Parts: sequence; C-alpha cells; structure tokens
Amino acid sequence: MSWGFRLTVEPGSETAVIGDKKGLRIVDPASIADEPPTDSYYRHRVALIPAIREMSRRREIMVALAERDVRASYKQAVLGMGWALISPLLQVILFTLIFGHVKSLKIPGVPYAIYAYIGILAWVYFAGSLASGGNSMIANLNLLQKTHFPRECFPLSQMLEQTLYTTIGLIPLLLLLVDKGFVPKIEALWIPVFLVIELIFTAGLVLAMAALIVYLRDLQQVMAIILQLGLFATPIIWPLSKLANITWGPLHHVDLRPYYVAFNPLGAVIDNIRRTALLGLSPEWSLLGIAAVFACLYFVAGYRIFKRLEVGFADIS
Amino acid sequence: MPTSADGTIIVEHVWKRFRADQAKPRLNDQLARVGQRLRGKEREWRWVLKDINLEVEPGGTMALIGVNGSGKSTLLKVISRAMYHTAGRCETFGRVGALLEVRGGIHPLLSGRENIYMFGTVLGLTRRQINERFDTIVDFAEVGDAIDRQVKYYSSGMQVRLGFSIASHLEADILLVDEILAVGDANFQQKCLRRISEVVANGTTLLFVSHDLAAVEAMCDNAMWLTDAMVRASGPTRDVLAQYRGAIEEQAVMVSSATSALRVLKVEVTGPDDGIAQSGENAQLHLVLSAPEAGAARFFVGVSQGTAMPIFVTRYYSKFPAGDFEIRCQIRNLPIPKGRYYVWLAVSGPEKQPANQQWKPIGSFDVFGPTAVEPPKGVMILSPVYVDATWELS
Repeated sequence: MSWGFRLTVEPGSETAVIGDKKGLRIVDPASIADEPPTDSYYRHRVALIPAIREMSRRREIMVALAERDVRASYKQAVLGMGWALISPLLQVILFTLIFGHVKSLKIPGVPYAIYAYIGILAWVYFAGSLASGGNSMIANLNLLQKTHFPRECFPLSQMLEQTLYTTIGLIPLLLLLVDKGFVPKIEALWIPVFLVIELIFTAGLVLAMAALIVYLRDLQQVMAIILQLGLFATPIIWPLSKLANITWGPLHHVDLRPYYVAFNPLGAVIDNIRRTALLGLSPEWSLLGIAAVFACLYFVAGYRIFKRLEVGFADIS
Repeated sequence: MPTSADGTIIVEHVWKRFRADQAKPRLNDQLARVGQRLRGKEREWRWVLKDINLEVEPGGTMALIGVNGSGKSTLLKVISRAMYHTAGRCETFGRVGALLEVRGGIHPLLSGRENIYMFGTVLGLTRRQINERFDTIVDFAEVGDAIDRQVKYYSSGMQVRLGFSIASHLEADILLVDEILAVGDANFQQKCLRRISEVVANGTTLLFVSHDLAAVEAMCDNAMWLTDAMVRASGPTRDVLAQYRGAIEEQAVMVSSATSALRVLKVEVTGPDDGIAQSGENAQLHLVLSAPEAGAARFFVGVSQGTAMPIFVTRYYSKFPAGDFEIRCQIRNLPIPKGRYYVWLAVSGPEKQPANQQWKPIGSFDVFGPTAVEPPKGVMILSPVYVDATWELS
C-alpha cells in the first residue's frame, strides 16, 4: 500500500525549498511574499438556484436545529409546549379588553376577538421569526466555527420553529370560532397564497438581520424597538382601510395603501386574510401584487446581504 | 458511490487573514473603523496563513505541528470549510468529518440520545444512518444508562466522550482532528487514538493536529510544521519532528540559562575515551555550575528525548562552594538508542523544600549506536529505551 503525499511546489513558484533529503522539505521563510498575488484572491459567488438546491438537500439539518431549540426551550418549563398556546391567547384577551370597545375599529358581523387574533397570529409569526432568527447566527457561533453546512440553515430553522408555534396558536383560534359560532367564509381558501408572501418577506428580513447582527450587535436593540413599534404600525388592531383616504398636511384624499404595502407587505397579507375569511370578499389583487413584488425584492436583498457577509461569519468570535 | 478522488485534500497557495484592529461588533467600533477608512487609512490585516501548500491523497495521513498560534487550527477550519480562505485554492473531495473541539456541538439541555440525533444530523448523517450506528455510538461513549439524562448532568469526561463518539462514527472520506487528545483521561486518549487508527485503516484520509508528538509519530506518515503562519518544513513525520524538536529545544535551553539562580556554565555528555556517547557503553555527565553563595542541594539530572518527560532521572546530594564548581556523574551501560537527547536539571534545597529551580533542559548530546526499533503503526512510543537483548528461536 502506498501512502500518498506530495508537496506541490509549482515550477516557477517563488517558494524556495532549502534542503531536500528523502522527501523532507525545509522552506525558507524569507522566500514567502508578504501578500498573495492579487489575482488569487478568493471570490465568494453563490448563485441563488444552486444554493436553494443545496439547502433542500440539507433540509434535515434545518429540521434538526429547529427540533433542538424546541426541545431545549421547553425542557426547563413545567408547562412545556403549553406556553406556545398561552402567550398568543393572553395577547388576544388583552387586545379585546382594550380595543374591543373602540367604535371606530368595529367591523359589523365580525367578533373583534377573532378579528384581532388573526392579525396577532400573522404578526407573531413574523416577529418571532425575526427575533429568534436574527439572533440565530450569534447564538450558534460555536457550531458555526466547526461545521460547514449552508449557513442559511440557522435563521431558516428558526422560521421553521415559529411555524410550529403558529400552528399551535391556531388552537385558540378554533376555540374562538366555536365559542362565537362564527364560520369562516369559503374565500378563506385563498389564505395559503397570502401566507407565501408573508413567508418570502419574513425570510428576506430574517436573513439580512441574522447576517448584520454578527457584525453589529447594536442591531439587536434596534430590532427589539422595530418589533415593538411594528406591532402598532401594522394593521393588527386597526384595519388597512384606514389608510385608504388620508388627508394630512399636503395630502388630500390620498390612498396610501399601495405605498404602505410596498413598505410592509404584511399589511396586505393580514388585511386580505380578514377580507376573505371574515367578510367573504375577494382578494384585493392590486395590493397583493405590490406586496408580492416587494416581498421578493426584500428576499433577494436579504439573501444577497447574507451571502455577502457569510464569508466572515466564522472569523468573528 | 465513492469515486477514486474521494478523500483527497488539495491546498494550493492558500492565504488567510483576519482583521488586525480587533474591532468588536459594536456600533462605536464600527463607526470608528468607517471613520478611519474615510480618512484614507488602509484597513489593517493580520495574516494567519501564508502560502500554504499541501496535498494529501486518499488514505494518506498527515500531521500539522507547530507552537500555539502558528495557524494549525485555522488551516483545519479552512479545509473543513467552516472558514473561508482569503486567497488561493482549497478543495476537498468526499465527505469531510471534523473533530474540532467535540464538546462544541453538544447541547447541554438535551439528553444524550437527543444529542446523538441532533449532532449527527448536523454533521451530515441521515436519521437512518444514525439509527444504524446508535448502539455503537453509545457503547463507545460509555455513557450507558445516562443516555436519556440531560447532558448538563454529565461529567465533562462523559460529554467529551459523547461528542467524540458521535463525530468519529461519521465514516467520512476525510477526517480532520484538532487537539482532541488534550481532554479526557489517559484511558480515553488511548481509546480515541485507537478509534482514529481504525478509521484510518478503513481508508479514510487523516489530517491530525496535536501537540502530542508521540501520538503524531504513531498516527501519521507525513507531517507539516507551521511557524508564524508559514510552512517551515514538511515531509516524512520522523524527519519533520526531528527538525521541530531541535528548534523547540534550542529555545528552551536559551531561556533556562538566562534565568537561573544557579547558573549552568557547561553541560557535556561523553562516552568511552571522552568521545561521543554510545549505546550500551559507560557514559559520563559533566556539569559545571556557578553559585552566588555556598550551600547544599539535591541535584536531579534527567535525560529526555524531545520535550516530554525524561527517560530516566538520577539524584545526587552534595554541599557546594560559592563560585564555580564541577559535578561528574557516571552512567553505566547507557540504555538509549541512537539519537539526540536532552539533559534536564532541577536543584532543590537539602531539606524537603520545594525545588527552588525549575525542571528544564539545559543542554543536548548525541548518542551513537543502534537505531530505535520502529513499533508497528498506531503504537505510541512512550519509553524509547534501548534494551540489549539476544533473541533465540528453538
């Protein structure tokens, strides 16, 4: 059996080898340049499609990471997974108590608790993903420096985890529906289409945030503030139609909704879930179209930021 | 289906740099950095790998040696793709398994069982492959019934064993091992080495980082010695180690003679007729020391190969005068084979006081004679003593 070993010193290479006795090569340190030739620098290029293919090939890792975090976070708690149910429930009770009596927010024929809860679920998915996904890279620096699977697995596994929690959060919604005797309209079948927009938008922001936080920890605080403001800046307790006819300062009866959903596609998502499932109206495709296009832009931008920065993730300790 | 190229490592002119300014990922640091660049100041870099070339063919074994901070671990991380290199070409073929600080992948809140599935998946195994190997992994880790207990209640030894066990059952084409032998007890270290040799015997390529030179010699055919981010020497393990030991001990000797209270003026080991020392012959150790004042002390003199513990130690008690004085020691039938050896000295007070001088090498000497017998692969040379034996088959 031959044990292969060959030290490659290319012909014409600058490296001087002094002494060569039975395969032993001693290199003169003075012969090594201070910097590599400029044309040999490594360029990190990852095309979107191969990267997504690689991701799907390694999806088990994503599931394993999500599973690890779910198991770990509920192992210490007495109520365990029950907490995934309790926290959205408490939120809806609070919102109903506070805003349920505000006349201007009322929608005829729809119990406010259901109205608010749908908004909350859609928001909690987004906010939860951003909060835990944004921190996922720095929380896993240890693993990051020792393994080599696609880095997107970390933030995306957090989105997967939030999907589970949101699904559990549907149980209080079912109870509410039964309690109020409310039957969702047949147009609710459109909902999966809206959720795809939310998913793409969320993924873009989560990827960008996860990558940027590695380099700038202050963004953790910024993110917390954004999430707090976003709860009220997103049509959760108020309907999107409030923006349909704005008269303020230089504005006279302007429909701000297209601009708003371009900035925050969640607005179109939440509003259309309510329109279809609660009111039985058809989706507002013009707004959804804008939301979808911008969600994709957010995603591409977030993904590019992530890929651009991933080269240095392991260097930062 | 593994192709013939699986298991190859190719590293060509690889360079890696880190930021030299050590800026923290905080807003004010980042702003300061932006400010500096606006003022036209070039970003400063610190090169941690410079023009590294290495190629290991399938089934080959290679060690990376060098002092701390010479770039060994960074090179391993670059090869494992956990880190990206800055320039050059770095490629591996086949599945890469990395044993880099194995406790890192273990989650303290999960049970041993959950950790095996989690860490195994992260390292690239499918659930079915883990199921197949589960019992073997548990057996090797010797955790027994504790497998369903949370890992935070494990002893640190158990945690390391679990991590190593998972990572070493990957059946990778390339195995990267970084300093895992620094943890765990002697028993476990031996077990790890055995496991690694098993893996290597199955045709896996091995790249091994360790400060344990005996282990390096036992595991690897070839070695590469890194200093200050550069390759200093590479080739057959034995030759590279000889170079490395030589350089390390030259440094140690220089340090010791400068800081001693009792100064060593001369160290000499001679053989018959004041010639070179020879295996199996009488040898004479000749020490000239200088003391600031008269006293009494116990002198411990040892002889070692490499920087490890001495092969043998002798002791001498004596009064000594102020100024220069001479000590001679006769060693009968010098029991060491051909090679370069080091003389160690420690001096302690006449009573059972702590030694007032550290145990360190003070000089070196060569021995002539038969070469050491090379043990079979995978066996560590722990006591390189030459034994004059006559064999007979009847």
